[in-house]
Amino acid sequence: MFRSDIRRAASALAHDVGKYVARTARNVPDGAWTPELASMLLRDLYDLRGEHALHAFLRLAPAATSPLAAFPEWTTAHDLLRELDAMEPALRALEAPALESAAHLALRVEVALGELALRARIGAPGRRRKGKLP
Amino acid sequence: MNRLLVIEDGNEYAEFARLFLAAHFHIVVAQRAADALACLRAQPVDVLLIDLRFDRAVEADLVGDVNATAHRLFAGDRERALRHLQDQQGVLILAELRAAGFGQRAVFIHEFLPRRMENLRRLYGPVHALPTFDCAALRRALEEED
Repeated sequence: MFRSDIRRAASALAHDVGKYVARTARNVPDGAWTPELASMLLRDLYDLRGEHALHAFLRLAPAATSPLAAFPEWTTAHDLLRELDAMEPALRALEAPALESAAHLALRVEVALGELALRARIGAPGRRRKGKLP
Repeated sequence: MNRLLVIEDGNEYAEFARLFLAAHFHIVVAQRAADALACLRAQPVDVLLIDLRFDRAVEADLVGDVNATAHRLFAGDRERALRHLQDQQGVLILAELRAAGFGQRAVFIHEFLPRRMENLRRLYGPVHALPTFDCAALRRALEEED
């Protein structure tokens, strides 16, 4: 894989997953979940451009083959997305605590993927290595 | 009420705009450069909200020549050239709109590096970018005077 392809994959994760996962979560005023907001959050997490956010993440950066999986931010985002996936029944039941918790986790996914994109521009997993990618 | 033209290959930006900005903007939508130009020629538009990556767009709908890009940048690799055009399509569409004489403020939701942002402003005038879907910041970016 070309270095530019790795940077592209990280940028795609930040754009196609991180940014959209947090689209609703960032804009809910003081936990005031209207049906429209809850519905859009569900789309952000489980119908993100046609697929679950976790599936989009793994399609763009598969655990077995993507060099990005060596970065700690990849693991953080993966774990958070798995947690969000497990919350689907509670979220579809529109349970308020679950909605709040999911919004919090979604914002953390966005942060982790933003950091991953930045690290992929710079280089090494966990520490800088003169611009070398894993 | 100001008119906001949303240009994207899906419906996520338009959906967001309709939920969070409809009280402040009349929202119109285009999914490729040709539609955006037709929209701009047909009605007054005050501001543009443009997606950057058009990874769901087919080659025929993209601004840019895949073969020429492959030859110029990717040693003839069409697949990488297509991905490049999709990845940068929002900027390429903006260039088309500017070339056609439409100078409205353009806003992206993308974290451009500072140097890239400077270049975009130098080339295309009023261009702004936000790193996230933040409706308050987006409204400010859309309404500010340049």
